[in-house]
Amino acid sequence: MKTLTYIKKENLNTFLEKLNKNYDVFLPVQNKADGTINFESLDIVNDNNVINLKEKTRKSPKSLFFPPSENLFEFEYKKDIKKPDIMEIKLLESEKMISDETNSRKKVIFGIKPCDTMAVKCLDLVFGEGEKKDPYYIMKRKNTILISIGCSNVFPDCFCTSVGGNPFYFDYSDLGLIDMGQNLVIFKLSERDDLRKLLDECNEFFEEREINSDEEIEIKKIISESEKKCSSNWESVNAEDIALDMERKFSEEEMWKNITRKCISCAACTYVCPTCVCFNIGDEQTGMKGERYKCWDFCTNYYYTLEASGHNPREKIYQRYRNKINCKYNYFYKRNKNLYCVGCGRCIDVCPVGMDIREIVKHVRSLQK
Amino acid sequence: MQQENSVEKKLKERIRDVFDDLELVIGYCQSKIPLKVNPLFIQRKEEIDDLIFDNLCINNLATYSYFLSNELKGKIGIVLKPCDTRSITQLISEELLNKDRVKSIVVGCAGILDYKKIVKEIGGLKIISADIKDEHIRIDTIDENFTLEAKNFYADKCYTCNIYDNPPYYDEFIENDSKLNIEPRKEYEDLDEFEKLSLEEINSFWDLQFSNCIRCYACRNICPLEVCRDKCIAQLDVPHWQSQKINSAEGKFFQLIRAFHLAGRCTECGECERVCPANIQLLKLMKKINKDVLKLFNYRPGFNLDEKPPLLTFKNVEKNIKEEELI
Amino acid sequence: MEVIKNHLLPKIATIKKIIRETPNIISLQVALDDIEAMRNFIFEPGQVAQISVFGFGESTFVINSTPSNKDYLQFSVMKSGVNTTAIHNLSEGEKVGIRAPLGNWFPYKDMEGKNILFIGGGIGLAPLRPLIFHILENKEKYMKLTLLYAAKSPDDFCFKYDIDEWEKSKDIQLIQTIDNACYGWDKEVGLCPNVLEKMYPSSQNTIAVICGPPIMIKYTLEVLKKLDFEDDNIYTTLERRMKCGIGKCGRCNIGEKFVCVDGPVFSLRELSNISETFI
Ligand SMILES: Cc1cc2nc3c(=O)[nH]c(=O)nc-3n(C[C@H](O)[C@H](O)[C@H](O)COP(=O)(O)OP(=O)(O)OC[C@H]3O[C@@H](n4cnc5c(N)ncnc54)[C@H](O)[C@@H]3O)c2cc1C
Ligand code: SF4
Ligand code: SF4
Ligand code: SF4
Ligand code: SF4
Ligand code: FES
Repeated sequence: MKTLTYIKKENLNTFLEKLNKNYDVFLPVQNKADGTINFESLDIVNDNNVINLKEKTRKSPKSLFFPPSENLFEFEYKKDIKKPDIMEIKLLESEKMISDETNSRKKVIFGIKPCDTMAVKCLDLVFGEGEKKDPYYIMKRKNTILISIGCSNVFPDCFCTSVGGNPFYFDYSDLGLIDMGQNLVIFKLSERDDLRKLLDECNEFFEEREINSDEEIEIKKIISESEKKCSSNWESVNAEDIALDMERKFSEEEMWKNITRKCISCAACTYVCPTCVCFNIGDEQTGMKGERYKCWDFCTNYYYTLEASGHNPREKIYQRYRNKINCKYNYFYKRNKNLYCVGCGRCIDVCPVGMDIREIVKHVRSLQK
Repeated sequence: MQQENSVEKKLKERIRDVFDDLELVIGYCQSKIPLKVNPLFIQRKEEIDDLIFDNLCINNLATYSYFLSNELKGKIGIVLKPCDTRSITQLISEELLNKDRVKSIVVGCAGILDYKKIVKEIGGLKIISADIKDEHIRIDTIDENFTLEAKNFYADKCYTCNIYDNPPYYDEFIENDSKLNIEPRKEYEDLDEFEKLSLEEINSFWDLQFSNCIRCYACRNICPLEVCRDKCIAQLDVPHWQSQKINSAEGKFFQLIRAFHLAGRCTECGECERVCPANIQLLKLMKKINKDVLKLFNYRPGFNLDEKPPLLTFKNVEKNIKEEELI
Repeated sequence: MEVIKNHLLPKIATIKKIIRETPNIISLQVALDDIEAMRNFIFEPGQVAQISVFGFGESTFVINSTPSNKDYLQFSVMKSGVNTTAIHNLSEGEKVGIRAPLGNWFPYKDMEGKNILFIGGGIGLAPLRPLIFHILENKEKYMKLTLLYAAKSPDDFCFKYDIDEWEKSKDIQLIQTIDNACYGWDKEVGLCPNVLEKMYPSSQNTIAVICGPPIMIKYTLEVLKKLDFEDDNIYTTLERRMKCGIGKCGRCNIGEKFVCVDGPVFSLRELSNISETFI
């Protein structure tokens, strides 16, 4: 007989509060004024907003590891009186900034959806793998524990099952929970030491008992129903095939022009996407001091590839949007065997002109060639 | 699938009649997302069948006029609501658009529903399905159902609209049997409260608003009048005006530039506010400036093909600006 | 705790010497301030560096000194935008930031035992320079070396000091051409592809390496194809706008390849497998 470890939902708030004593807890918080939900610190929860674990957040949680902008280092020019026309420069070690991050408290992201954890894997593959890694990302990432709740609710724009996930996919969550009405039941537990520690610290909230056969059936039912609903939102795509198809249709300029006509090349879809990783680097200086920062950027904008000579390899919207789609469904698959769309549907939700990534892919694939 | 309404039928017929002279027609079609519609680009006659026109057609398709007329050689047909024609008029008056390159196919309007207002009313819940019948909007979310009275959820501009039946500019006009039927409001009445605030309060209001800006530029790119999207000083390297950082200071700076570049040009279509993923009240800023422009220069953008916007021109003496009092 | 090297943090270096190459190109010789690091600095011909002028930004340049030189690194900079202008305004003794070496390099090992045809246009000689030096230093391993160097006008040739030397050298055959005839010019006249066609080099056991502006690469490739050069035997370097230089920021992609890590050196074989046009 297997056992069931769970936390009573009525105790959830006290559990989170306890957690917040030792960790920085981030979770989906809904703004009461306009209804938008975003990942926020538990500290800001007050009368104007409310925790909402059911619905999807507008923006993805990626900003917790990959902030919209962040300083890489600071610099300072110094004049040497003996050599007046020569400026000395001093860099404020970014290592210091990075280690500040390490010494800070651990973060817990509570209520992150399974698709978003797949997206975190995508970020890991870019920033945390390879010969040259990005320490700014890694420090934040290593410090974060992901606690997921599987999706008993599936929305019309969800399609994780089509791109290799499912509403209860916990491979990239440190702790995976299933909502069973009264209780949140632990379904998956990772081996991370810091997670063990966290559970030990809060063990008064977790209850354990033997699982009965009804419950086993119910868990299966919850999972299969969500899966069924989600897969009815879009056909299942085979990553290999789709990458090949994208490749084959790449040069169909007319088709690309037609399907991207309505796109206005903004960043709405990119900035809410949990897997978009592009960033820009820039310098700002006031007086003798300044900083170098990195900040989000988006491949659908004209300036992205504009070169100093005035030459722009992706001058037209359709070329840029084609790059975006290929990046997600082709290029990254080729580079690291991972689709860079996890089916969260956020881009569909925010697009001002109703570009639906599923339709686009479907259209590309349906073109006979 | 909704029933074809009478105006839709007339619209399709009219477009079929004029289609051969046009390279492309922009209109509306169904969206998979409840309570939304999509822009439709018609290149083949049979695609006219996909056209729709109803009270969800909120997008201002004039947005595409500038860029498409530069890209294509032929004439473009655009389906517009009477209020959308203001944007076309404004573009023509500023010589950004050649009158002969677009055919404005204007449809009489019975008001359009504002998606954001509806979503706000139901507490931000995701809409699973919805339908509209007899002035009622029925909405299903995951575990709640709502029935809303449509009359409260029209776009703000509808409540002050007096051109729904007589567009100030058109090449083709298709009359709509259903007419706008809502309690009208006074123009700029929604600014009254705002104008009572102190300078500090105003400042902190905007600081809070713009602290949410993620610089996605959706507001800039959707605006029919911001033809500058690929030459925008907010993104240029040379000259270097603005940092690319995403934070409240930069968001505010960007929006102030936007506001000034649209002062007395903005046709108050509300697209910028509609598309903002951060729900920033952009239209409030635009309206406030336009209201001041109206007072100072007696100019309302988008109504006159021959008159230049006051801030794009220079007069030695301005009737309503008493310079001696300013010193 | 594991220390992750911060590849986004530049090292400070001092400009030792500035050489004016053409009206809008200068070469900088810079040495890392950290003497130990300078001595141990290893790079391969074709690799690039990100050079910063703090407050202005960072841009990509080929390291064009020879890899065997341990005293300084040389870069040639054409004035074209914000940062390149800032570099042009620096004087000897001033500081820059360097992140290097980045990217891949010319597969000079695979070129051993073969004839090599170098084709450079304008500042495009910069990436070829370290390769030519390296190969000349190991001359015995290679067969016939030819350099076709094209520029708009006689003033636009970079590295005149090298040219003088190569002209005298028996190890490499040098052909120079300018776009339009001008007074006092007694060498070739004509666009690079045309001159190449006239030269009619044999593709037998020969590797061609082309660097230059996109338009020149485009037409020269056509001629090389006509001359029966195989895709495997043609190498070129590509440019894309770059930021991170370490395959993270996504900006420099051509199809699935990142110029900053998979390039800048590509064989035409690799490029013909990418759907996106590279020129
Ligand atoms: C692999 C590689 C090798 C290069 N080698 C040389 C060289 O040896 N000598 C030389 O003079 N130039 C070289 N270039 C081109 C040089 O990098 C650009 O001219 C330079 O970045 C322009 O910077 P800017 O700040 O003056 O231009 P701005 O127009 O102010 O550009 C702003 C930013 O855009 C980026 N950028 C703009 N144009 C380019 C471009 N063509 N390539 C890469 N990034 C760009 C830079 O990050 C720059 O900081 C090389 C480019 C690449 C990609
Ligand atoms: S797809 Fe939509 S959200 Fe994305 S760039 Fe285009 S218009 Fe903007
Ligand atoms: S592309 Fe769209 S659906 Fe896919 S992960 Fe990004 S936001 Fe989600
Ligand atoms: S600023 Fe906003 S309301 Fe005004 S014309 Fe542009 S999109 Fe419409
Ligand atoms: S649409 Fe909203 S978030 Fe995007 S740039 Fe405009 S104000 Fe900022
Ligand atoms: S420069 Fe950032 S990925 Fe190549």
